[in-house]
Amino acid sequence: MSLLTKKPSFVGGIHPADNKLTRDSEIKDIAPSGTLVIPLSQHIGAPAKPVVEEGDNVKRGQKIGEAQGFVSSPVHASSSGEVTKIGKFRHPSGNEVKGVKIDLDGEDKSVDFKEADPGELSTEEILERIQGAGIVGMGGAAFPTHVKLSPPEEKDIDTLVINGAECEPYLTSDFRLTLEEPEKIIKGTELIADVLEVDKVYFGIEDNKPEAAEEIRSRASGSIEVVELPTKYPQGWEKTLIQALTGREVPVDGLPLDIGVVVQNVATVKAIWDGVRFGVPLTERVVTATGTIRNPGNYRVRIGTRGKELIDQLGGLPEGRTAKLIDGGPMMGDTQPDQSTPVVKSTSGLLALGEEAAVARDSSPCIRCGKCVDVCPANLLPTSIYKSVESGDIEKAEELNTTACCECGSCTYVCPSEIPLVQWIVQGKSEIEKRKE
Amino acid sequence: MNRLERLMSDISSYTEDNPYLQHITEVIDTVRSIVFEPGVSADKSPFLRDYIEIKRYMFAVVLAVAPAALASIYFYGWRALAMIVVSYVAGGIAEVTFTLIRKEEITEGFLVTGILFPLTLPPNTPLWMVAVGIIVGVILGKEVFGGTGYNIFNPALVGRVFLTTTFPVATSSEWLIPMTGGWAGFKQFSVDTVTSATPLGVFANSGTLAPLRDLFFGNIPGCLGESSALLVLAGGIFMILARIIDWRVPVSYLGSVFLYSALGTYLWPNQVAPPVFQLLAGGLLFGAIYMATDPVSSPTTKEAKWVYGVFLGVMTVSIRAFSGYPEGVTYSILLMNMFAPLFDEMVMTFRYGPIQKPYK
Repeated sequence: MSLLTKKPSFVGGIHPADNKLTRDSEIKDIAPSGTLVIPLSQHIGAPAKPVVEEGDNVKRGQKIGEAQGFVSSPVHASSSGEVTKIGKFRHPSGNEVKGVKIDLDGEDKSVDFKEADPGELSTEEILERIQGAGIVGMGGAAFPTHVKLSPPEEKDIDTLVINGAECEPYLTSDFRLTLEEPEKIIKGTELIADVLEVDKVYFGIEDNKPEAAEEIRSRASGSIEVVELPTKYPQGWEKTLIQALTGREVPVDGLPLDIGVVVQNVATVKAIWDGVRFGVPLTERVVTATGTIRNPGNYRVRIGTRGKELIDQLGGLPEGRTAKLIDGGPMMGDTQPDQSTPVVKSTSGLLALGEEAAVARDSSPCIRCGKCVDVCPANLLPTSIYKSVESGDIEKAEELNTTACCECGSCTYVCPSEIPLVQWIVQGKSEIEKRKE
Repeated sequence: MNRLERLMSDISSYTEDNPYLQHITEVIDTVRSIVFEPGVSADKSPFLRDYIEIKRYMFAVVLAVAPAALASIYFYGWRALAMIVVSYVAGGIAEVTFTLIRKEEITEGFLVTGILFPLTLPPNTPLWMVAVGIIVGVILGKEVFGGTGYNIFNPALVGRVFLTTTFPVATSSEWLIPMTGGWAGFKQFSVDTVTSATPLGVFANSGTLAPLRDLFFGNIPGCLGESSALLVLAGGIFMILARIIDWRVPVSYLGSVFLYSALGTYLWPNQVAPPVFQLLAGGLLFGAIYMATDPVSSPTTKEAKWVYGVFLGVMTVSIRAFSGYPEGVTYSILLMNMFAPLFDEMVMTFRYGPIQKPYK
């Protein structure tokens, strides 16, 4: 790659080994069985309110939780069976949230889905169908999609970005989906491009997935500009992706909306098409089960399937080789204390890491080498933030734009002194929040 | 766990419980962590780590300076190795003493200071003086500030300046002529052919320039580590490629020396030596590659590294040309160490200031 044809990118970033072991593994179905635990809060915003009671029989696609307000999302049963408990369950993010437990009857009966021709629907009807299908951002943030597609009047949105970067090591669920269901992704993209009335649609993908880029490019007939970006973590963060594709910079404490851009993840776009065209609510998603799990691969898993159920169906975890079970990828995923937590709408992967991979060495004093400053994609000074948070100077931490951190973990990855910088920064963020209240 | 590892772990847990021996636990744990690098599983993401961590970082610097250290034995005999050993032992005692007082772990930074310091000394420095210098460097250069990571000055250079000012005759007026050809210094303990000046000293007194070829390969009197420009450069390139040091400091330092001396030698040919001679003579390369790049005492941000390097070059050439000292690298680096935090603050104001403004 010469300097003249340099691909667009962002400042900073790291190059961890991508370990995409499941790259060539086609998406397979995992049959729902046993019990499901479906959290009523799988999105940012107000939790859904349960509309079923213990003892009720539910079918796949039946609404079990009603959205509470605009920034909220309904939740649906993902298979048929009896509701046996409505109570607190552990969410993969670590919080205890209200959820619905369903003992499956094994018949996987489904409600009738109402198809529609998107061409005949008004914008309002499309947004209603998106909200009705319980669609939220499936790339990790889980922000309700209909909210993102309803920008305030004063914001002039001119660009739609489809995020197919998938920069987290190990994960391949978005890649396989792009490769296997490109038509749905393109249709969904064109649909929301119409809703937002944008002039420009980008499809951003890392250059380690040329097949997927080609799938979209060859079918999209010019309506979507597919851009291959250098493989660099965190290329898939909204702000770095926008910077690479459009050259625009999202302001600190601002949103992509503020600079006229909306970003949607590929899996979300596919779910949008399913929801609007076929009336199918979001009850399943593609999950990369990988690491030391037997039969690593990409699986279509019902929302609410617990880690143990999925792992057992794949043949279990080899004895003594697994140190950590992680919801998501190795850079930003959440550690699971056991296998009881369910797959939720934003679960892109279930990763089991062995002792050797999940290492954190003892930290030693900062030697001011500046590696964290060089790699920070948000242009922050991680070491200075860490020092101010550690010494309790939250005002200083705020001045250093701590809130602009995306928690990608690049600083911790490079730190030769093994200081858990990102954790200090997250602590600083929550202390800044507290001060504001 | 192999047998040795288990033994060390047992000793460590034994000393920890023993009221008389618990103070040495930190020492044992440090040795253990250097040899075996034990790790515990991370609780929170990220779960991946870059291969550069502090022990490899420090070992890589020692590895990079090893060729120059070996060459010093070749040029000046086994006495050079004796100086390195004395430095490690005396400095190690100072380091461990402070570890015991503070009850903190020994940091690997000492491995670097311990070898860099003797390489900045003339080959005939008395061994007891080496010991005094490294102890002063470790204590006054590092420990009084709070240990590794908190020091303002490069500890090795603090020790060096202490010796220069306290024992000026022994450390800057008498030099040895290096041996070359065949096994040279590998066959004997020390060299005794004395001369009065290094190439920089000769230039300052008489305006005569040493042949560039000798400067490059090492056939010149000088401090232990700086004899061969070739080997010092090789170590530097290794460290840059292994991402141990940032290329900006040496490049901007050497670049500014080159440009300033090119201009200077045109304006004041009697005081300012020509650029290539400046680059190869004296401790410039050694300082630019091993000393100015010390992460603790140099700036953190990329932009500040450029400014730091440029100022270093200007200082070095100025001291060499216009002060009483023929050599200016040590003083330049120590002086600029003081400015490193200021440069970082300035960069933060310029680079990070604008993004605080709200959009539109």
